[in-house]
Amino acid sequence: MLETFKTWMPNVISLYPDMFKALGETLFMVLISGMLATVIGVPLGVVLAVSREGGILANHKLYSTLGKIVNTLRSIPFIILLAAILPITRLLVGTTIGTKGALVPLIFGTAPFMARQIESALLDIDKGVIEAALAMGSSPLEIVYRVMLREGLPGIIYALTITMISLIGLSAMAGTVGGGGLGDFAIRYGYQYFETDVMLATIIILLVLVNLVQGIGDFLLKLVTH
Amino acid sequence: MLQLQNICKSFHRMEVLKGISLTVKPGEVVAILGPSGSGKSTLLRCINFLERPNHGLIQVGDLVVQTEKATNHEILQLRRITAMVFQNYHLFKNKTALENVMEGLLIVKQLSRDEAQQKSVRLLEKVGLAERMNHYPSQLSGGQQQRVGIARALALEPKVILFDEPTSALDPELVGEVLEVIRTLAREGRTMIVVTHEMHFAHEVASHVVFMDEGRIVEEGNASEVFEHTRQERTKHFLQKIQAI
Repeated sequence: MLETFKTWMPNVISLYPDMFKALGETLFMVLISGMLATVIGVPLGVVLAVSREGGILANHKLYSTLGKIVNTLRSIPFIILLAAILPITRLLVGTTIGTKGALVPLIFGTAPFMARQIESALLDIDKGVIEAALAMGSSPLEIVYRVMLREGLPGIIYALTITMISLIGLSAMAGTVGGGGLGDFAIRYGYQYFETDVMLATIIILLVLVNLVQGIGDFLLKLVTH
Repeated sequence: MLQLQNICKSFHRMEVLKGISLTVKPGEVVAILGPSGSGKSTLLRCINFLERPNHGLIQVGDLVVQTEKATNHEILQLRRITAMVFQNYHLFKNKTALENVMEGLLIVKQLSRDEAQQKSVRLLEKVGLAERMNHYPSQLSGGQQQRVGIARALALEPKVILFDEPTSALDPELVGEVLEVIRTLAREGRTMIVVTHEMHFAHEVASHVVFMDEGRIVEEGNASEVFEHTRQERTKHFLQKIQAI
C-alpha cells in the first residue's frame, strides 16, 4: 500500500507536512469568514426579506438601498474584489497578506451572496403562515423570530450549506494572492512545479471537504424538516 | 358584538367591496354566501386587517376602529380580539399541533409555558386531537389540520371567530369532522362569521345568513328567510344553481 503510494505520489510524501498546514489554513479561512459572513449575511437577508414589497415591514427606500449595495458587491468578480478592497483589508486587519488578509475579501465576497440566499429562503415560506401569525396579533419582530426563522430553517440551512461550499472555492482563490491554504499549495507545487500528484491529492482533499460540508448540511436539513 | 359600517375596499382600480354594513349580535353565527369574486373572503380579511379597508368603520366589542386612520396599535388590538381559520389551515409546519395552539398563548396572551401547554391540551381535546398533539402538520390529515387551526383560533378567546371557507380545501369525506367542531362551537354560543359554500351547513347552523354579490350585500336575514322565502332574484338564481349540483 505504502509502496504504491510512494510510486504514484512521490511528491505528496515529501510535502505532506506542508499539505496539512495548507489544509489548516483553508479550514481557518473558511470557518472564520464563514462565521462572520453568517453573522452579517443572515440579518441582512432577513432585513431584505421583510422590507421588500409585500413584506411585513415593507420599506421601499431601505430595500432598494440595501439591494443596490448587495448587487454591487456581488457583481464584482472575486479575484478583482480581492485587489479592489486592499485598503479596507489593511484598515480592518492591519495586513493584506496571509490567511488573515484573506478573511476580509472572503467576508465581503460571501456575505452579500449569503444575504440573497437567505432572502430567497425566507420568501419561500408560505405567505399564509405569516398571515396566520399576523391574524393572531404577533408583532413584526415576533414574526421574524418565531415564524420566519423557524419556518424558514430548512431553507436557511440549505443556503448556509451552499454558501460554505462556495466559500471553500473562494478561499482557494484568496490563497493564491498570499493567503496560503490548499489553493495556493496546489498552484505552487502542482502547477508551477509540475508535481501533478500534489495537484491530484489537493483535489481529493477538497472533494472530501465539500462532500463533508454537504453531508452535514443534508443531515441538519433532515433533522429540522417536518 | 361586531359592527361594520360602509366598508369599502379596492385593489388598484377594482372595487371589491362597495360599502358593506353588517351587524352581528353576540352568539350569532353568520354565514356569508355568494359566488366567487363577490368579495366575501375580502370582507372577512378586512375585519382583522389582513386586507386594509380603504374606508369604513369596524367595531368589535368596545374597540372602534376608523379604518382610514387605524394605527398599528389599533390593528394589533383588533387582531388580538378576533381569530381566523383559513381555507388552507396555514399551520406552522415546523411546530407540532400542540405548539401551534400554544403559539398565540405564549406570544399574545403571554402565558407561562406550563399554563399555555395545559390550556392547549384542553383545546386539542375539545377538537378531538389530544392523542395527536405531538404530531407535525405534515403527519395530520387535512381535516385534522383544520381542527388544529380551529383550536389555535380558540386559544386566543376571541370575541369573534372568522372562518374563511374552512372546508373548501378538504376531501369530501373529511368535511364532516370539521363542520362538527364548528357546530359544537355554535351550540356553545360563540360569535362566528363563516364564509362557506356548504349550503346545508349554513341552513342548519347559521342564525344569520348574508348573500353577497359584486361587492354588495344583496340579501340578509335568518336562514329560513334567505333560503325558503328568498326575495331577491339574484339570490334565487344562485341558490337554484347550487342546488342543481
